[in-house]
Parts: sequence; C-alpha cells; structure tokens
Amino acid sequence: MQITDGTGCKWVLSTATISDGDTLSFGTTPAMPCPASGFGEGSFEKISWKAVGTYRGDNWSRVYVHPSALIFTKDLEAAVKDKAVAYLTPQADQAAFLVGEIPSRKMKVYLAFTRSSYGVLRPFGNDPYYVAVTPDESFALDAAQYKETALEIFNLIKTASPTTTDVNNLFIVKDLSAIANNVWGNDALKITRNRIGINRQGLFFDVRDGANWAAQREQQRVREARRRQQELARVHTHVLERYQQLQEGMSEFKGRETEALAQMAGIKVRFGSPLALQDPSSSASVTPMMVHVTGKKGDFYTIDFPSKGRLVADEEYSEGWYVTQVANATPYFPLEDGRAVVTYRAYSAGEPEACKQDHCADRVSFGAVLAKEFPDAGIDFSWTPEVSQQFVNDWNNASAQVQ
Amino acid sequence: MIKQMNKKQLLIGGVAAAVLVLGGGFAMVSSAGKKAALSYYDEFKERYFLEDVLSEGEVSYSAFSGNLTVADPEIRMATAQTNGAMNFMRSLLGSFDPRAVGSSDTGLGSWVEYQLDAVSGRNVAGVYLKADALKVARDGDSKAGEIHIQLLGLQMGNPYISHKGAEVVLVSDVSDEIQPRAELTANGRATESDFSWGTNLAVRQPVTGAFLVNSTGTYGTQVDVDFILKRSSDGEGSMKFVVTHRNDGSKVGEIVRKADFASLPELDDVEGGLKNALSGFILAGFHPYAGRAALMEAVSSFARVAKVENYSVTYSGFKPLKEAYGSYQETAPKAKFEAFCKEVGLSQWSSDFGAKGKNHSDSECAISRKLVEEGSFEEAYKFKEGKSLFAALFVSKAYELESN
Repeated sequence: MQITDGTGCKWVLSTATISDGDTLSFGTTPAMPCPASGFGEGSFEKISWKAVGTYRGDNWSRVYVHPSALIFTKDLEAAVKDKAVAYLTPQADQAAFLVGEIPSRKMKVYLAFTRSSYGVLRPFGNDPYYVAVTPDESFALDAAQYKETALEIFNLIKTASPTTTDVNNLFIVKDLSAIANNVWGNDALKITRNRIGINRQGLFFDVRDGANWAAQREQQRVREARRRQQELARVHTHVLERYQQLQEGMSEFKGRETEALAQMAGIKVRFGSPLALQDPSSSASVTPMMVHVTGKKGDFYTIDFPSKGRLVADEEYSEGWYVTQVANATPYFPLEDGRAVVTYRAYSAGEPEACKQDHCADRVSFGAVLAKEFPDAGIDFSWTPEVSQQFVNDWNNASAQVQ
Repeated sequence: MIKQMNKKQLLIGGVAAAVLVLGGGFAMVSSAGKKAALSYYDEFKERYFLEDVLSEGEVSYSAFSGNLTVADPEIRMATAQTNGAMNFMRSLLGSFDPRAVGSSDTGLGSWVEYQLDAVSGRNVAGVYLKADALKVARDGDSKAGEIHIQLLGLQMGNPYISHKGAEVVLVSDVSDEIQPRAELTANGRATESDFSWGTNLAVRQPVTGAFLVNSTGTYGTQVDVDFILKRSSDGEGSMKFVVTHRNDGSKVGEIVRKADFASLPELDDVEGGLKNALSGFILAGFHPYAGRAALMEAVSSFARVAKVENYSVTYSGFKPLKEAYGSYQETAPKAKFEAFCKEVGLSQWSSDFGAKGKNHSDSECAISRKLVEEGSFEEAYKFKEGKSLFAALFVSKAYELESN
C-alpha cells in the first residue's frame, strides 16, 4: 500500500495492517525532502507509523529506503545501494539485486533478500543469499565443473559486494522466478542449491552437499532411456518373431506376396462376397482398396483387380494401379445380364496418385504391415529385420555392460 | 419414398414360403370347382393371418386345369410390425410349446439348424416376396388325390430389406438416400442413414438354391417352384419338387427332389404340417428357439407317420457358378476350391445324414464344387422297408446313400 506523508512524500508500506478508513499517523527522523521520484528515499534514524485509535503501528530504527521504495536495515545499505531491483516476488517477501555477470557462462549473479511475508512487511534485515541464473545446467553434472562454477560465482560476489560474503545459500536456477519457491514446488527451473561463503576456517563449499536437481533429472533421463531401450528390445523381439511368422505364412501366397502384405496392412485386395456387396449397411464405411484401373466406359472406370468391377469417381483415373479409398455402391446400379456388377465409389483428396509399381508394390512392405501391428515400435516403410535386430543388440550390449 | 402397400395381401406367400421351406412339403387345397377353390383360398388367407400382408393381382380359376391362379403375389412383412402381422406372429408363438420338442442333439435337431441358418442368428428384417403367379390345384380327396402348387417367377433380388414403421423398405425405394455420396461426411463416412438392413427371408431359403444366386451375384434370377404331392387310396404316394432358376427367360439350372412314399399321412393332415413348418421359419426370425422348436415339431410329426422308399436330390446346370470360379482363378490361380467358397460366401456346413457317404458332403461348397467340376450334384437315398421316415433319418440311419 502506498501512502503519502505530510510533506507530500510517497511511501510503500504493507497492506495487511492498514485497512480502508484507518487514519494513519506517519513520521520520519530526520524529515527529508523527497527526491524527484516523489518517493521517500535515503537513510533514516527512525520511521514510525500508527493507525490512529488502534494498536497497530510500528517503529523502525536505522533504516535505509532504497529508490525502489523497499526498506532495508541500515547495515544492508552497502549491498543494495546503487543497484536496481531485478526481481520482486509476488508476495514482496523476496527481492533480488543484480551483482554482475559471467559472460563465458551466460550467467547473471544476484543477491536475494528475504523477509517474512506474514503480517506487516518489515524492512529487509537478513543477510542475502546468492542466486545465479543460467540456461545451461551441464556444469552441475560434473563435480569438478560444478565446484569451479560455484567458486567463480562467489568470487564475483566477493568482488562486487564485499559486505556480503558470509556462508549462505547459493541457488543456481534457469530463471529468476524460481526463487519464489526456492524450497518447495516446481523444480523444473532449479539447477542446484548449496551453501557457500567465508567462515572462520576460510572459504566453505562442499560440492557433495545440498540439492542437485540437474543431476536428478539426468539420472531420471538415463533410467528412462534405459527403460525405453529395454522396452524397444522387447517389442522388437516380438517384431522379429512376427516377421518370421509372416514370412512362413507367405509361402501360401507365392507370386502374390504384395497382395498378402497389402491385406495385412489393412488395404482391401478382395471384394466382399456377392451377397455381402448387396448389403446397404456396407455403403457407409470407407476403406482403402488396391485397384487396377483398365480404362473408362461411360460413367465408370473399369477395373480388373481385385476382380472385374467398376469405380465411380469425381476425380480422373488413368490406367494403372492405385490404392484408393472406396465405399460399396454395388446395390444402387442396375443389374447387367441379370447379374450385379461390383461397383465402388472412389474418394481421393486431390488428383489420384498412381502407384509406381505393379500391384502397388511400392506402397506395401513388411515395414508397413509391422508398423500397423506395432504402432509404438517406430517402424517405418523401409524397415528391414536388421533394424529390429539392432534394437535387440543395443540392449544386450547395454545390459551386459551394467553387469 | 416408400411404396404404399395394398393392404389386401397374401395367402399365397404362406403356401409358397412353406413349400420353399420343406421341400418335401405338404399342402392342402380344397377340391372341385371354382367356388370351392376360391373359398379355400380365402380361408387359407384367414388361417395364416395373411390378409394384411399379401397383395395379389387377379385371382382366376381354370376349370380345364383345375388351377386357381393368383397373379403377381407380393408379400411385404417387416419384423417390426405393429399391425396385423404382429397378431400373426403372436398367434403362431402361441401354437407351439418349445418344451414339448425333443432335444436338439438328434439328427433332426441339426437338420433344423441347417434349415434355419438363413433365418436365425442373423439380423432378419422380414419378408419381401414377389412373383409372377401362384397356382394351386387339387384333385381327388384327402385319401386319394394330388396337390399341385406352383410359384412362378419368384424374384431373387432384394436379399436385404429394411423397414420404416411397419412398412417394408426396399433398397430401390431409398437408394438416393443411402448410396455413397460424392463427398464424405465430416466423420469420414460415405453416407448417413438411419435404416437398418437385414435379411429378407423369402429369398434366403436353402431349398430354393438361394446360395447359387448369392454366390454369383445373379440377382436377376427368377425361380419357378413346382411341387406335386400324390397319394393313392392304399396310402402310397410320391412327391416331386422342382426348382428352376431362370435368367432373362432362359433356364440357368434346376434342382429336382423326388421321393416315393410307402406310406403317407392323409392329405388333409399334411396341411397342419405345412402351416407349422412355415411358422417355424417365420418364427425363427423373431425367436430362434421357438422357431426351431416349431420346425422340429412340424417335421417330426410328418416324419413319424410317413414311410419313405427313396429320396433323391439332383442339382444340374448353374453355369454362372463355373464362370465365377473361372474369374476367381484368374486372380488366385493356386487357391483351393474352399478358398473360392469362402470368397463368395458358400457354406461348408454339411448335414448329418448327407455326410454319411464316404467323402461325400452336401454343403453348399461341396454342391457347388460338383456343379463346377461335373455339371451336376446327385444324391439318392434308399430307405429300409417298414421304418418311419423319422426313425430312418434321425434314429437309426436306416438308409443307403448314393452320390456322384
């Protein structure tokens, strides 16, 4: 809450203890004119306030009012004077001030001050802890690099802010906002937290101490990768077994392997029975079918694969092989010589694209079939057994190394 | 658009369907004279509750042949009926007590399953039957006489029908609405429609050789059904049942069933069996268990009384089947005949007694194979003297089978 004193100076105080309707008495010692900003600023022997007619009020002695209107105890003046506020938490219980940068590490270093957020916001009075912000957490995965980084940060602090070198938390994060929940909460932006500073024995820092979220994430990633590797090996063992099975089944389709593969990949290569084709219930569903267009006769494209029949289509089909979407239209055309003529309506998004090879061999493969049966195995059209064997081998090697 | 139906409909269909059903059937037509024939016809319609579902053309009587001829018989009956047809069904259901019928693990049980295969266990939409004419003739009396029923030009199209309320809907009635459209719908379907399509019982009966139409797509086929049952005063008799398939007027093939009876029930009694057998088929569309029970009851009551000397079945012709197999071979040269059967929907189910011959099967697939390879399928049964048909077929298998 912002108030204005008798001389027209503005001050930022807590919202908690001052309610609407309260009359506030406010005083500073010494009384000083306001600077250009209009906010009270500078060193004061005493600031006092009281809500008239209540018990609420306080006296703050030996304080320094920063140009940001944040109030500090006098002994912190050196640490914050001439520095800008880089970040203030939403509860106004933490404030960070930029100390300097380490360009080689794309790192910015801050002092962070804390105060209680309960009730009245008193002046900041505790020693600051240290915060470094960097997008690159790789240093945290190696103890030597981590230590080197921490010391470099502390050196910067010692140089730039000689009054704040006590042992305190060093919190390295990816974004300054992470300090708002530096103990609990979302850890995604946190890299490490540890203690560093000068005590009676000299410089204190233990690289094995504290929390290392980056290392936790890395361990999790390694575990996940390993689990995924194992899972892939398991799936691809099944893929290889299935491949073996398919190959054995292929002997029945000698000379028609492509058709068999297409069928397994969900492409129709057979008409329904003549009776089934009379069922209007079958007209609504649209399925891919392999066809061989032989020409055009009246309104129909003639086909001789899967068997003799016709297509009706809005798009143009030239002679050739296609995999196209079809719906059964047989019941709706007159019989010819007393016989139903198998007729499908063909649908194509844009110009129908003919297959490059006979029986659309370029559109079907073991990969296409296995990809359909094992959708999570990352199998594509060009799959060969070696691809799956590699997954199995990789896992065998990896698990052998662990043992 | 749904064709508005002539409410006056259907005796004939009942007879026809019943004949189709049993093959070795029974019928009853009143003797002598136009007046008697017509009044029998009316009575028949009433008896089978067909007045509301059969539409007929001119009903005429020829004194010369003794034939009562009904022109353009047409039956439209949806299973979702709420009108008179529901009444019909209810009364039929009431006529049979399923518990009265023997267990289904007898030979009869499996034969009945076979006969009802086209009907039960599938989505049955109802009956749509359309033919050029129905002829019914009866000579003599109940002890010594002849029943002759012909259903001519039965159309084999419309294997699937639907309904809107109580009205039968044909594919051609609504084809604009249900056929795939030029553009797909938002959810990737080719068309959207609320109609539910199911089996048309009239054209799916095995006994008419419907499988020969359904496996070749020759839905322009018209079938003539010709049934003659003779009985002499000493109780001997004979039956001839000829099914002829025609396409555009020319004969495609023929199924001939013949039987000689050492003993036949009196013709009047046969009528009950006919009605019950028909009921069984129609019932099965609604209630498979009751339908099976009804058909078993009808068949067994006839078979327990009748004594058969011999029975034969011959399929001949049916060239379209050979053509269909030929074009199948073009795409799959090395495939076995069974694969062709699967492709065109021919059943592999063989009846229990037909399978008694060595390496012999009377499944649709086996019949088709003989037709393709030899041009005919023949079966001849010779029964032991003195046994009832029921005992011979379903109890001790007292018969010999010869086949080609």
